[in-house]
Amino acid sequence: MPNFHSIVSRRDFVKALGLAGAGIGTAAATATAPMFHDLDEVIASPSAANERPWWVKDRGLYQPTLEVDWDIMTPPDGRVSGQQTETQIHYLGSEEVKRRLSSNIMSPNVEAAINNTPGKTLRDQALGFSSIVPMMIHGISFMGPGLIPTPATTGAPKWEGTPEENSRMVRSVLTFLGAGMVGFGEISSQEREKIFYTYHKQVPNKRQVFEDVDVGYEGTDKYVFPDRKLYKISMSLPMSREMYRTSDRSSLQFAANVSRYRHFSMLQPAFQEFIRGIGYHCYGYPVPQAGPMPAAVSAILTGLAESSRNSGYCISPDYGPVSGFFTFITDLPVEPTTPIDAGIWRFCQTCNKCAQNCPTQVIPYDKEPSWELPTLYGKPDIIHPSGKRMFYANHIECWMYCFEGGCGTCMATCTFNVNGAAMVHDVVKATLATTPMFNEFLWKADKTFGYGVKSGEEKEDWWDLSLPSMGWDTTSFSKHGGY
Amino acid sequence: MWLIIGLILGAAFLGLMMGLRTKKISLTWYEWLIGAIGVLMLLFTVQNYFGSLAEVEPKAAYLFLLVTGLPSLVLLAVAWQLAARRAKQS
Repeated sequence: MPNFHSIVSRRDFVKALGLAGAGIGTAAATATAPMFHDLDEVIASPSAANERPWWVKDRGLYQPTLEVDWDIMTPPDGRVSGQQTETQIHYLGSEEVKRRLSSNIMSPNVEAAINNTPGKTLRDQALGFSSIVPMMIHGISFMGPGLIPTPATTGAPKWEGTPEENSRMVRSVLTFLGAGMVGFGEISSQEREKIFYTYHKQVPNKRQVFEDVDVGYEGTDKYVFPDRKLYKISMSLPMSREMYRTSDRSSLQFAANVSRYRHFSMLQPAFQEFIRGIGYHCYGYPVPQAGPMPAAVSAILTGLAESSRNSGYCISPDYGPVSGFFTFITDLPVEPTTPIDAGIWRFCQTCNKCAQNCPTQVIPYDKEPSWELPTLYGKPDIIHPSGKRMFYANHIECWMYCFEGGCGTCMATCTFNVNGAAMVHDVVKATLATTPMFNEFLWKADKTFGYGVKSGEEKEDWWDLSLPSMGWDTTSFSKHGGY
Repeated sequence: MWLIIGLILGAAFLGLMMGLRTKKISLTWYEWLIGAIGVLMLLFTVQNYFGSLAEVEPKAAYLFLLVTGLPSLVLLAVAWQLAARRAKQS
């Protein structure tokens, strides 16, 4: 539509007048509503933003609750994350890494199967392994399949919508394809330099570069993005909270953990084709596990989630910590959504339930986050980019333990990993978002009330539960009735 | 569930008002306040008890009976006894 911030059509004008009239009539309600600076903002804003409870506050662009110093920030290097074997060897030595990975989550644990160990019974392991298979069969790629007709091939005009319309359209498409919540943002020059991986995480660790081309491409040694205005689309794929609660050393948790990759390997090609089908381009993941930038960073910058004590994951006010996040890069203009403040990051500075329950004790207990990178095994930390004031966990030890037999305890035990049937959870979330003085009491109450991981035979109860399809309630983010 | 609870509450309130009128008892403001808090806490308990059972969190469900359910009954009993004893004296 050509009337965004320019000409207002009669229909839009009348619509806006209606909104203004409603605003006059409900002065008390509008006292806390967002402030609009012109008529176009009144029309535009509701369509781009995610609908959230009143206690989730929007912040400014690039102003997450986690403090960030863009001047000292270093870009992430996919070659040296805690998940990379080479990095693990750098810290632990090849013998130790070899010893620890001699048994790993992807190998059958025969002894546990024979002993019917809860979380590792034969059927638990079979489910864990089988959950990841579709991701191995359905290959995905940076550029997408390129199978359907496009405006370039048919001669039809390409889709022209306002950024707000595009955001709303993309949200509808991604939700239809299986996403939970969707956020948007422009790719600024500082993001290109400091948020994109310099080298991709997936072996052979291709470089990520911007070149003066109309359309990006995948080269033999690089992923190329066009040096033009680009946008990011961040989305969540919620996972089964109940399966996560069988952590740690659980193949049921592993089945839930890889479910996001299984779903994503089906979602991404369809979404890339949709974007091509309307005349634009969408740069995706070459493998479901790794994209152009740390997905948690993108989720935080687009307001899907806030940082947490364990910097390995982030927490959504809507669904808690048990979600996977993914980021697409596109040339389809979208309206940015802003970082949020739901009191989560502040709460994590008081709560240390995840640190207490971490089997490897690698999550800091500190009261205050820090700008300083820690030393790991007496060596400088090379796995975390600097420039963020946060809690730096030892993600070498964390990932080694995960690879050995599966974990996810931090996410499972998190105070925010609660279901939605009891109203107390909304009361707690609203309270901690507005009244931090109760934070200490609230997380200790969470422990007392027994929320968190299951132990022993309780883990196997999952097999007898009647849970939603795919293990999560897909109506969690639906705002229209009828469900 | 809320429809049924609403109907029960409405009937109970109607019964209370009719009973007070028949016996010519008028409640003081603090008896109303204590009773109202008790009813709200009882409703909170009922919702969270059944909600927690639905969430497969039985420990949380039982703790709601103890932590909010018991005090709600105490408050309702206090409001009732205050009114009953005052009525007996007069």
